[in-house]
Amino acid sequence: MMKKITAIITVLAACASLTACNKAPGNVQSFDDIKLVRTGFANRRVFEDLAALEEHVDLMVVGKFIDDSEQNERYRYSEFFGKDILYFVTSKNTIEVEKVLIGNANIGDTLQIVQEYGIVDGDLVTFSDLTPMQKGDEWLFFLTKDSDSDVYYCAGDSDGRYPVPNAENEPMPLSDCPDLGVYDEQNFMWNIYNEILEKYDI
Amino acid sequence: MKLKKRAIPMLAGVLTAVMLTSTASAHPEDYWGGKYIGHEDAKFTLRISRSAQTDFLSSDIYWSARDWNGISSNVRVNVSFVINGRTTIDDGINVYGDNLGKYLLGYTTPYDSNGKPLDTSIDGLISDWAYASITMNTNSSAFSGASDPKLAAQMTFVHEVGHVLKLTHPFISRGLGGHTIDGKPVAIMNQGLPGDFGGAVSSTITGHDKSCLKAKWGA
Repeated sequence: MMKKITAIITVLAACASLTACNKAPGNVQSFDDIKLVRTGFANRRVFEDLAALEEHVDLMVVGKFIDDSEQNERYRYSEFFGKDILYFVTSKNTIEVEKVLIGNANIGDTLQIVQEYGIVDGDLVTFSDLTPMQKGDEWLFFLTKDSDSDVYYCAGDSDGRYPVPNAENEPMPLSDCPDLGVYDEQNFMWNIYNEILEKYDI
Repeated sequence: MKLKKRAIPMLAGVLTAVMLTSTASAHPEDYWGGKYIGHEDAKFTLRISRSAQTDFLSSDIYWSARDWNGISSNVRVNVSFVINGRTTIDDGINVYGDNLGKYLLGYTTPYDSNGKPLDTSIDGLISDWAYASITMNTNSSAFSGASDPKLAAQMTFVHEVGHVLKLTHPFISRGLGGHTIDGKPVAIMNQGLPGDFGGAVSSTITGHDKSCLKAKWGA
């Protein structure tokens, strides 16, 4: 059954690189009325099939989003505008591991995942094709560990997170296909997902 | 807000489709509508900030942006490096560098006249942009999956300059033949590392990229 939408993004501090610190807006109680700004045309690593993902990642786990996020906004000075402009924002999300399919982790471990979105001036600004996670959501993650810190990244952004078939995730009003965890279905790797469902019991 | 991402560029593309008589391989979905506020052409200087200049992201990577020159008479790309806080120009398209993690190689952000990032799924596709910036990933490990990481960085930068020139990631159609691989046009504007998708991700500007640029800005 549908659960009530709860908060996802709590900002502890958003300190812009090289420039001013920004106080974040705090908890998002609902995405119903928030404005979505999908920005940034990117080039990124892509994975063409499940085998490529399996070979690449450190962890393949089913996890539940359990904790508020830490947000990092980045600004730089623009001569054109004569002021600092936002050029990137990330959020750290904590998940609890529920099932381990690849890699060295245990059920109950908590992991921090960096994703490329955040709340800026009341808008959800995202550089990612993945929708924000909401507390209690369960997803299947393909993760690699950052070489310099204890955080993880979803491999290739939307190549690295997939729905858990029987999960009761919150609906995401900002997405045309919330069950898939992306804004547009064209960004969902159906070929990889079908391979996953054939090979793994998730 | 309910429009699909591809819907708007397709509409914008229809308006410019009449320009395709000499550029038959251009797909009208593969470039955006609108220009830059106050400009009819796309002639600008890329201002390479200190943050974008690293041992890995060396000057030759940035000079390659000039590969877009000589295709359309309305497109001219120059490059200027910020040295000791100074550059030969005061404005231009800023190119920043930052650690973007393990997967994001580089990206382009369009801005409105207030300096706010445009929604690239809606406004960014059809409107005139006030400005754009490029950010390159200074984390060289992001490029390590490529057989030639330097070439991958160079390809990424030329790809991002293509976005500044309002070119999109090519539309994939399984029914397309000719210059496509499994429906994906061979292009530098594809996402990925050079050679991905059976070679559809090109390390250099291809005929498809050129035809799209000419369709967008004129021959």
